[in-house]
Amino acid sequence: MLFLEPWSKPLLFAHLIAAIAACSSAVHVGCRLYLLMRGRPGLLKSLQLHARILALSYALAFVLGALIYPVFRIRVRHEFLESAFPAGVGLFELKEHFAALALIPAIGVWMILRAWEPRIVEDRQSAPVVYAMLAVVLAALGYNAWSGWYLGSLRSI
Amino acid sequence: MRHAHTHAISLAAASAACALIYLFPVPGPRYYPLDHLWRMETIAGEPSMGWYAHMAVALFLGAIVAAIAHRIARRRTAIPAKPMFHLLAASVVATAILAAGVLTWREFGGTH
Repeated sequence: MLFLEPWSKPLLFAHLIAAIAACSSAVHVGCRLYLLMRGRPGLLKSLQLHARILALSYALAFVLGALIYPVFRIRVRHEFLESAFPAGVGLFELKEHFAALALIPAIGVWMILRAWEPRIVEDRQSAPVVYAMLAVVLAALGYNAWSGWYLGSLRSI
Repeated sequence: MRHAHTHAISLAAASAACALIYLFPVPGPRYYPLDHLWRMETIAGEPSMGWYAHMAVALFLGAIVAAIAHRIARRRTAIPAKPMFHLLAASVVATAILAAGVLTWREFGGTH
């Protein structure tokens, strides 16, 4: 029996839900940030709320993914992918790497936007950094959603 | 300098540093899921996982870079000019693209 193997399916489902929340909140943050920077300052509160949801859901999806990784490593990668579909090993490894690379940006978007105050326009000078971090997060989420779905359709835990 | 600016500087530095550190091999323990053991050495033919240590070291060093950058930025009183934030944004995206490219090449086109 592998680490957390009896719980792997519920954990995988929770990982999926957290990932969906992260994807949707990242899109919300992007749209609200774009509108706010074009003269809709009233959106700041909801922007900060979605940035918080993004950070929490991304971190939760990351931790849950790390917890079920040993089961995937043996039951899917070792027992199936390495013999039947070697390219799938690379696809999954990249998913793990990209998830780690986007963790600091996902939390960073929230921390920067949390420090923005409604009446201080100078705070918004840091918007390019938020856009850049959000782009990294969206790219990682996009790849991870696609590769996670594709590999899961071949064999899941 | 305001928190919005110090956070942007320190987190952009951390993000870029983490992406660059991630490209280098990191000595650390590997997890052997079949044995439920952590070992420093790599045993040929036995499935093991080095991602945990690699990721933890990159994030930890990224956090240290963030702390140092935050400390330096906090001492400055003037708000940085706009190009500074554009430069930071470009460095975040460029290092992420570099890391993604190198990692993809390692997985599909080259050797580890």
